[in-house]
Amino acid sequence: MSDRPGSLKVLLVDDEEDFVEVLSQRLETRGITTDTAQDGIDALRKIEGRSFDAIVLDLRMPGMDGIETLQRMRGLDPDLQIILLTGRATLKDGIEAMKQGAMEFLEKPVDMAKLVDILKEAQDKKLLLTEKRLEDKIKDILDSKGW
Amino acid sequence: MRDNQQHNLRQSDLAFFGAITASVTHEFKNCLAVINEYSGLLEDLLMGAAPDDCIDVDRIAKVPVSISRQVSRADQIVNRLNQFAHSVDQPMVQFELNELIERIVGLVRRLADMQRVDLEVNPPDDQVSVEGNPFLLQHVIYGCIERCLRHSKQGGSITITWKREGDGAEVNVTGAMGSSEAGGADNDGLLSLLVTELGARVDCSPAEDDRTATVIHLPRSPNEGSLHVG
Repeated sequence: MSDRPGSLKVLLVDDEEDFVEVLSQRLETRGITTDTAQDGIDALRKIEGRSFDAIVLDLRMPGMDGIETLQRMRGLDPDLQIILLTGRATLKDGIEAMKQGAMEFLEKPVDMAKLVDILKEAQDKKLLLTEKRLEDKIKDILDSKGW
Repeated sequence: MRDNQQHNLRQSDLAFFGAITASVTHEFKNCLAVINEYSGLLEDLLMGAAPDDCIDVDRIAKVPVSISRQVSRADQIVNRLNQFAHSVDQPMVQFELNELIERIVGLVRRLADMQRVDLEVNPPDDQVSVEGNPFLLQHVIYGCIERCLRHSKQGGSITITWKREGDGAEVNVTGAMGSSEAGGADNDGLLSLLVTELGARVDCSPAEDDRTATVIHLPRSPNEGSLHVG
């Protein structure tokens, strides 16, 4: 994955190799930088290694499922925006996903235009959260020095 | 069999049918999702090319091959589900044990994969033909596999073998099990009911790697139960 400066960086996580490979190609043609992982463990390893604006994460995966992967990802980077994908969107799954901090919950097959809009929104959200975190940190430092 | 036992058995049959259908249709939807993406990629490659640009023919040529592979996969999934659905057509029929076991294993393989448990099938060299209720037998085998999956850790394995046993046949499902179940207890009573209705007999014994072998003994003739081995 080669980074384009300023481009949206997305990690795609799904055990269906063909699906994640072709989704990656389609997003890359739209100027989005992507990396892929086929399970939760690999995804966490990649997040530790580099910064992403958003994660597209399959709900049902072998071993560590989507919800557990999401929880651990949020632990590593609380500002990370995570979009859950599922082949079967039930209300119960959707509620659980949002309670665990998912930004959005989509059903496969994915509408590409909708996904790209959501990813751009994710990038904006993450930027705002990161800026806010930085501002708070600066304020704390200034307060501690009585400035 | 008492009325409430019959009721529980029928509920269990429905739950089994639902579990299989849910898992298989989820897998089928995954195939459709991949086909959808490849179709979108084709559109991207064709529509994205400016009037004077050359279309990347090599890249486009790969797409139909990938779509075809997914269609074959989806076709296999649906065929298996269709055969499973037809297994309820007749309560007493002659069928090949090899084909039935391969089918039920194919249907539950995704459940085992989700838990990262290896489902290994070792068929005999010859065909074993039986007469009886194929749906019930599938339900019993599923029950044994599902019981092993409940107790299996990631990286574990479940092995299924079958063979002629005298004039009858036996199906062996070997995998992890809770200590009471390994000792022969049937905690919710359903597996015992199913086996009784099938006219078969089950016993458990220790196997290698701290696993337990559950052996389903299928009777010789319909008079001995609902299964006859040809």
